[in-house]
Amino acid sequence: MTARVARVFSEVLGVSAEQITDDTSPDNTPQWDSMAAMNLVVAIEDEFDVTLSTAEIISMRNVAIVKKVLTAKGVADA
Amino acid sequence: MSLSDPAFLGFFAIVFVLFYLLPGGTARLVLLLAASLGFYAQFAGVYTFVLLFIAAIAYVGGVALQQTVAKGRRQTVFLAALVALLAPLVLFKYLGFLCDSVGITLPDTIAQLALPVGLSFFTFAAVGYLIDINLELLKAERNPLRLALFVTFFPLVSAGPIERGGRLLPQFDLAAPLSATRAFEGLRLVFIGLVLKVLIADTLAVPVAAVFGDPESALPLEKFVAMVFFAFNLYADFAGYSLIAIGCAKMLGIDVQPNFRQPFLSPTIPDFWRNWHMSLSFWVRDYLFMPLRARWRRSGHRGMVAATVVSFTILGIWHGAGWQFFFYGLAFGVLASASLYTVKYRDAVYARLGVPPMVVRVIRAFITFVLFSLVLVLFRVNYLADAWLFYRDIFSLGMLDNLATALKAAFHGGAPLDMPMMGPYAAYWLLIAAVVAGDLMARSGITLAKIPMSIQVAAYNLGMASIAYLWMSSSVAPPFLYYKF
Amino acid sequence: MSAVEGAEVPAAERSGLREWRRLIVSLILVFSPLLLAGATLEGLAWRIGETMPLAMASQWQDAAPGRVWRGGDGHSFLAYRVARIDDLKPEIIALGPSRANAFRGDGFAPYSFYNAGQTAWTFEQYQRFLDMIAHDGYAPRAVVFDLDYWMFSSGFDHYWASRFDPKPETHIANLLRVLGQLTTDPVDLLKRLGRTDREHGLFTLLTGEGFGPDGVLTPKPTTPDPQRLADDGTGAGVPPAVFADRIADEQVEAFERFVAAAKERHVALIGIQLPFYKKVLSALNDSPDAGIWREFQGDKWRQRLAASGVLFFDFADMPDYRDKPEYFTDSLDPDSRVVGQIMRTVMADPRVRDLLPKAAGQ
Repeated sequence: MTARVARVFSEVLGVSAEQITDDTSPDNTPQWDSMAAMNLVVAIEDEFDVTLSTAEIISMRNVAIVKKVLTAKGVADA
Repeated sequence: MSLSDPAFLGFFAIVFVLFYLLPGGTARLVLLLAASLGFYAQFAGVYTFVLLFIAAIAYVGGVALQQTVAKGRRQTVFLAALVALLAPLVLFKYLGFLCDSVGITLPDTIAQLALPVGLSFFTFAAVGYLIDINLELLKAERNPLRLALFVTFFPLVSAGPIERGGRLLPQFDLAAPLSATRAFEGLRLVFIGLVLKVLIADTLAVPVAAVFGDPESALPLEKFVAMVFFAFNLYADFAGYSLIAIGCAKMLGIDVQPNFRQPFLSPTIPDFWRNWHMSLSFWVRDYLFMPLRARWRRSGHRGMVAATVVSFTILGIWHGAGWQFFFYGLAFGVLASASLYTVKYRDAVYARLGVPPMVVRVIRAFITFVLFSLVLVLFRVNYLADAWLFYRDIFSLGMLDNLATALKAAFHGGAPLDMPMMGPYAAYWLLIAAVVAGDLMARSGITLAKIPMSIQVAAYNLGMASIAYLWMSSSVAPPFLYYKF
Repeated sequence: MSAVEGAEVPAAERSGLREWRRLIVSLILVFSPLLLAGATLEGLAWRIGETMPLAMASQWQDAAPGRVWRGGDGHSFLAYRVARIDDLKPEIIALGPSRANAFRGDGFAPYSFYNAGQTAWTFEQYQRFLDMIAHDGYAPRAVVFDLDYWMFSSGFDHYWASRFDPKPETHIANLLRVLGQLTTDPVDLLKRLGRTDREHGLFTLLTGEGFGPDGVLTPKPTTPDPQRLADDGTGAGVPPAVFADRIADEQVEAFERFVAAAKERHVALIGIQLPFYKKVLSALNDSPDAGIWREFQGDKWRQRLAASGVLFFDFADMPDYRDKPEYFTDSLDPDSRVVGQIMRTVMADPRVRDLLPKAAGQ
């Protein structure tokens, strides 16, 4: 899953996939602003075919939490 | 007494000493709660029951929500508690305006209700707490005393910063022993706050009141200058008050989030709102903007703009019940959206023109400041119609004429423009320069603590002497007339 | 618990005390310039006598002869006078607005005298003044007070109500006054400090004018120049010398309450309408709006006053002085020579001699 998440982030934010780590968050990634945030959500929903609730969206404050949320929704760790 | 009154110094000194004489934990909790209720009661008298009501609903609602698992029932509990929490705000602040707008006349008893101090602030703190529990980002506070203190905490209750349950509640163990170092940090914040509020804000308020009180008599340039003065007046007033609050909390070992981070140095409107009244702006972002944005995430640009405009408009009317506040918020929503969508193009233009980044920053900060001040006029005018006078004059030929006269006087030794409503003009600009200099220093990481001790001591003594003098002068009654007879 | 002499303080407490010490010592050190400046200002204000509590100021005034006090900007005179009377317990008191300041004690010798002028303007205030000074078995034997026609004008009590303030000036107000003078002209002020053994109160120190131990105000200079009185801002039609059509009933009631209160306390009342300068006299006599004046001068009123038990003397029109500016500090305030003459006439009156037998021999 990590690679797919990294690819989504990299495409939406316009940074290279290698720079995406578990710690990546709006605080340390200027490209992850409020506009990009929703683009990310949409892209993740489309990529993993899930629908995220508001609570989940708000809670996804860094890449680690994104992966946790996806795992909780049953996305395979492939 | 407000946080900037001398009586508050005495009150806080007593609370501070008692706090550290008491053992940590419940004793200190009770002390702070008693102090907070006493502090609020001397402001609001019988309206203290409104504060207690909000605290009670927040506690009961939080615990009930925590215990309710079924989704449908959770929704019901959440909505019920939310409505109860917002009811006083609607009743005391917005009911009059809403009824006026629709043509309903309220009975006098309701129409004459005063707005309890800080209602907008502690209501939002409680609502944020409830929403966090609803989203399962936070566990409900079981200890009623701790929750009550979260809502009523006296440094924050009158004007914020609006804190989050998740940040404040864990700090209510109150077990830390006295630390002189931490007390000094807090005192420095209080000192800067007092300088901003008592020395700078209250002084700038004078020409501002003169011009906004009688805009028809003011020259175009006077209106423009008053507009600029008001921006700094409001900043110094609010930032100063917030610093006193944060400093007092720090002295009690409680960390409160900052409310202002040199906003006038911000290059864009969205960035401005990440540095101005941060506790409110982040509250609106997290509890209004994000949910709206999430709801409309499939609507592309339209969704983004809608979420932005709606959020800012609500932020506007949070400030007050009136059309000027509605337009204040709406204007920022439009400006913020425009900024977000055009920033790339503007970057490209600057790059093409080869403007150095530092200059770009300065130009942007200047433009952002002017835009903010222009919208801020809506905030200050006594009547909405006066705003039109301001905008009309500032963008008029009369303004150019005034500017020409002023510039000629400055550079060619011509006769200076007479601006009778402005008073001791140079002194006010000096104060503004001090604020800007202070902000630049803060941005560069040069805090008060890092300045050489001798200069610090001079600053503290001169600052407190001036503040004490202003406090004393304002407490003295005017002299008798005809005292010779 | 340690058995050793000087039991050891547990580590946590020690560090707690250490933190308190650090905090307090640092604050004192950092703010020492401000604290010193404040202490100096307080010391200076005290030395000048401006912040001295009035009871102490009264004792100071009695500790040596010829000491003069005048502090504050007028708010404090009432509290000051009351403090003096509490100390002196005089047998005869002069009471009224600034006009009363000219009464002196020599006319009443050997009775002890205190001039409480410039503290009360209306009958209700006269009555409240009596309430304030007469307690614990003390009451003056007689009160010599201003009884002027205008005190019977409608609304008079309301107009002068705010002047009667039992509270003295606040400490802060006095301190700010000294600070203001210090920043205006420090050298002059410091030079005058040498006189504080005889003069207390900023105003006295700066002008030499003030209230003596018997309450009498240092006289202001007068000149024979009529222009001075023409320009002094006083006159008929200007408060207190107001025009009115008639004597007002509510004021008469206030007067009667005052008389009754004095009677209850066995205080004899001597009411005097002091002279006016010709500017005021002619305006009152000639104006159609001065009905109250004519009513007050009329027989009916004189009889009523006589029946009230007040010994009333009307010196409003003194032909020997009314045209001479050098006998008036302003057109409503005759100087002490005139008042001295008046007192001799009053003291020669048989009713007054009965009242004050010991003075009769003067």
